[in-house]
Amino acid sequence: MNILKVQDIRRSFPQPSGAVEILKGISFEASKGEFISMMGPSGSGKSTLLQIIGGLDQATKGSVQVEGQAIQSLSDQALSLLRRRRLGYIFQFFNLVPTLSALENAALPALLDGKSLASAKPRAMELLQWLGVDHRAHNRPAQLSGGEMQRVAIARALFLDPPLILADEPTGNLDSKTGETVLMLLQKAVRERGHTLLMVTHDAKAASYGTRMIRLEDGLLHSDFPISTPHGTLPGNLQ
Amino acid sequence: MILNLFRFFAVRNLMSSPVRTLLTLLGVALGIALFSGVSAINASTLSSFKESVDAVAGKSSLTVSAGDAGFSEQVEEKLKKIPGVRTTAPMIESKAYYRQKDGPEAGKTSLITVFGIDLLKEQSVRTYQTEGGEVIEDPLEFLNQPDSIILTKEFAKLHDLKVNDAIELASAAGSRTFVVRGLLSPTGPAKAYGGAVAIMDIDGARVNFGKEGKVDRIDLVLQDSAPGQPEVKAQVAARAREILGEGYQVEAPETQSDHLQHMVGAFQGMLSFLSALALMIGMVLVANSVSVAITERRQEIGTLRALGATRAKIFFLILGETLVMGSAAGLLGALLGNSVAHALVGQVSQSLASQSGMPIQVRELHYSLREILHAMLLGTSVSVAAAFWPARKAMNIPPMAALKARGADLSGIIGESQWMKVIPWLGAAMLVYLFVNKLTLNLSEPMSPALQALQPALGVIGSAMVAPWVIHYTLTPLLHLLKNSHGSNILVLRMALENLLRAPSRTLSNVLSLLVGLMLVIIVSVINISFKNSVSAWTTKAISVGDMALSSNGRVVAFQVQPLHESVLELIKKTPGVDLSNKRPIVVMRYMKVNYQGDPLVIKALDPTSDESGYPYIDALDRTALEAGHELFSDAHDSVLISENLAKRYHKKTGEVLELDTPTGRHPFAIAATIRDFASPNGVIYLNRNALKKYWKDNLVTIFFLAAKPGVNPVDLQNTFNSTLGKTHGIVTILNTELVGDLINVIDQSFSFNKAVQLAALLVGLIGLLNTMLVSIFERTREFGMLRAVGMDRRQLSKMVLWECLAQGSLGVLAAVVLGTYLSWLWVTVNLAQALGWVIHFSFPTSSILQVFFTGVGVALIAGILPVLRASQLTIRKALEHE
Ligand SMILES: Nc1ncnc2c1ncn2[C@@H]1O[C@H](COP(=O)(O)OP(=O)(O)O)[C@@H](O)[C@H]1O
Ligand SMILES: [Mg+2]
Repeated sequence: MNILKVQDIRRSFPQPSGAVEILKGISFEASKGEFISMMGPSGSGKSTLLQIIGGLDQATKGSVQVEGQAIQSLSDQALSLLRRRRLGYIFQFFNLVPTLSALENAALPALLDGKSLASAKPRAMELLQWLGVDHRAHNRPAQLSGGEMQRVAIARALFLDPPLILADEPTGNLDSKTGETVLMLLQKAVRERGHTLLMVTHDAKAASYGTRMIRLEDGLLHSDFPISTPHGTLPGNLQ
Repeated sequence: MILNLFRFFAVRNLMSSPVRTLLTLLGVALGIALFSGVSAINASTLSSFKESVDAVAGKSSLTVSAGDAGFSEQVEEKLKKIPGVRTTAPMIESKAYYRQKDGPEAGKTSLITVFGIDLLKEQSVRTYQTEGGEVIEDPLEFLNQPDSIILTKEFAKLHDLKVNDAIELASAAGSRTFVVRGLLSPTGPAKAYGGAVAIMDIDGARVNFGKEGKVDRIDLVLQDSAPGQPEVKAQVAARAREILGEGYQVEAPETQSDHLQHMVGAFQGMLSFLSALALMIGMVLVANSVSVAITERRQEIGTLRALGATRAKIFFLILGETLVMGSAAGLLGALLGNSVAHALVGQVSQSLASQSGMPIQVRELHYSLREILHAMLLGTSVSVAAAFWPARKAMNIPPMAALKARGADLSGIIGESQWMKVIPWLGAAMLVYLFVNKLTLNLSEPMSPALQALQPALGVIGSAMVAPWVIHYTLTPLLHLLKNSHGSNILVLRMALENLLRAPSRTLSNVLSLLVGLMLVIIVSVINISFKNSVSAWTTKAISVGDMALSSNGRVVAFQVQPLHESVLELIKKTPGVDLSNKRPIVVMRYMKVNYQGDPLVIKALDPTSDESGYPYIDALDRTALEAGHELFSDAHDSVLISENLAKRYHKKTGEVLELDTPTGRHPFAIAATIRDFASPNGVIYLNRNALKKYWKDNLVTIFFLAAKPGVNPVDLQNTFNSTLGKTHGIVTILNTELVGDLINVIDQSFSFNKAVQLAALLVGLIGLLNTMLVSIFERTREFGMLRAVGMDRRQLSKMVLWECLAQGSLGVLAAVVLGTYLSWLWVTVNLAQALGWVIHFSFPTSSILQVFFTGVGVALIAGILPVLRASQLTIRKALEHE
């Protein structure tokens, strides 16, 4: 079954000089276990597309279906629930709630869902351990390094086991070595846990961790092809 | 360069966050408005009174008086003979009460000062002009008709009266009808007391107001020997004092208004203090706003520094920006201040009038260019002063800051420096000092004026300084508790509280600005309630001998009534239903103001009652009522009972002698007991009325207290009086319960102006909270976007913002309740006791705590509306793009 179905997505922004169409009809599908890297020049609408898929922005036209459900007809409340339970979101920076501990940040979707911290704790610890940041569980974001913050963000994205994870330049703010670790962890999540990952990046090396590559150019899907992934090995403790 | 920089940087910045600029401006303007409005009222009150005094004094250089009882008319002859005196003019000055007969205000009484004058002697002292501009047309006719009265045009217009109309005034023989013979133009004495004056012939006035053979004042016009005049005046005054003895005051008109200043100084001081607090909250607002702006512009300032702007330039840039805002706020405040002054002047002068018993009426509110300039200057300087610390912080931003991306630096005014650790300790030290001071205080030792003024300030500042502890030690354990609970609501609440801890000085400034306003509410209402409880408990006891009080028409609770002839007693006794037994006797009282060592004291002179009554109206402290009453009324020697505040103030004890100055000279009185009486802050003396007749030559009666016979319903007796003495003599009968009710109203009234101050303080607090909440939300836009992206719904986000507002409101309430209760306890037991000499019992303000709770939470809710709306309407896409 398709986890994601994007059909003829168009998005234009009103400008003083008239509406400017950023996305001019994008369609593609993604199935379980895919790790799609989306590339394209800066300003080509990658983030916009990701936001439309994540229900954070409304397309001017077209439809998005997540697990067969059309999201544009959903209410704000239903969209919030969808994001909380069926989607994981990872940003380039400012990913975590500064007043909560790493553990609580990881468990945030569950906490927002009304679960107790006690009941969410084992899962959060397991994920943090799996991502190699369990020793930071009780620290606040300000005390974490960039790589550690991103790993906590990944833990949060994985927490409720959502079928689809959206990542907007998750390594954009990290040095290449740390970035690499984060990418390998994302790859590991897709491989071992069966998530579908849609990752925006402008870094070809980062993109190469995916199983499929989509290029956006001039608001259109320029190319879409599978790639074969080599890949480095994670440090011993993360394997 | 600095000018250019200023134009492009500072002004633009003020404009770039218009909501914040506007809110800050409004907050400061409100503080200024209140402060300058109150100052204008205070100044205008005093100058109006001074003008009135001068208007009445006319050309006279000295005035001789001897208190409420007046003095013998023969004194005039003695004064005339003093070398240097050219003319003398005697006068009866009586506070009459005019009762509106019909019209919308029927039954309402208003105070009118009646001058009984000797027309023939007046010309050389004062001028009176009637409508046509000429002096009174036919003095003879005026003299021949004792029911003649002349009003001012102003008063006539206000009460819709014309020439030849009849008006009813209280006289010593009960109410009397007078005929308006003319209307005065506003010159001379007609200008005094807002035109609430009337003139009649002195002989008529003597008869009408129970001053047969007496005068209330004699004005002296001195021979004009221009070069040496001051000396003549001093000589005449000295000579007059020598001839007349201690019971008289010989004063120049200039010094008369000093008495008023003395009497209302404490009240005006309190007003000024409260309005200064509102201004202080405005300063917190400015400091907060400026430091938020600086935090936001950190990078920009760094860039300027990198481009070569010196530290001093940055400093002056920030101050300059505040200067622009401050002068705008000053201007707005000045304009608002005018409205504040006009809105409050009536209430304040009414309070002052009822407290001082003087006909204070502000004729002209001075709010001119001078006041406007003052307000502007105040606005500017207060704003600049408040911006000083933040500006210093800005000055120290390194050029490197330009290169760093702006992080989530949420620090507020002071920054989270070491100071924050020391300040609460300092504040606590201040509060503890006040406590120690209270314990070691000796009430009979007057506190130094400096300490008296310092106490409230220390209390408020100390409270503000310990506020960080209140925040910290409330939020931390609360968060600890919440950590172990679950549910998404708890999570949202936790996040809200954590956000408050994350920007502690911003939270502090919000809590502070609410705290001050709410503390005011508590302090004022505690004083009010404690005062009311103490006074009404005492009054209830003091009047327990009877069921009702009879007097002429006026303000009975404040004893501001025209005293009656003692012959009225016979009429009262004849009324069926009155208890005439010795057990519940009629208590006959003359209430009078006298001078004691330069201070106005109150004498309550009572007719003897027998021991059988037990003297329940005497609240004796160091002896039994029976002993005190028995001695007061014994014929063996002259005795007095003195109130505890008098005893403390003048270091007098039971068994000692109190010397009183009377129009017949100085006389010694044995102090028989110390009593409690709240009638005057300076002191009250109980006297046998026989002594009053003997030494003051006064035999008038202010109030009769009496009881209904067993089996007679007091209400029925009251109705009987109303239909008999009420009709024939204008006698007013007030039941004890009504009297206590009136008393409570009077006390409430003198606190009512505080409502305006509290309102302004709360409004400034509200603006502050709204301001910082908006900034705080703006700063966290991206964070909010992220939260929404990972599944927080709109409701949860709104709740989080609302919780932040509510939590700050609740912290303000909590701090205000704890600190306000403590401060008001100190205030009641120390400051009031010191200032007024009364021992007042502290009453716990249960109702005002509820009021404060609802007010605080209400303010927080109102301040939360806009931020919550903004948060909930956040577009996630835009929020995520937010830098
Ligand atoms: N609210 C908006 N109004 C107008 N133009 C916008 C708005 N948001 C984004 N854009 C434009 O849309 C284009 C695509 O933006 P984005 O999706 O962020 O690109 P990418 O992530 O590929 O760099 C950019 O050129 C940007 O200027
Ligand atoms: Mg982008």
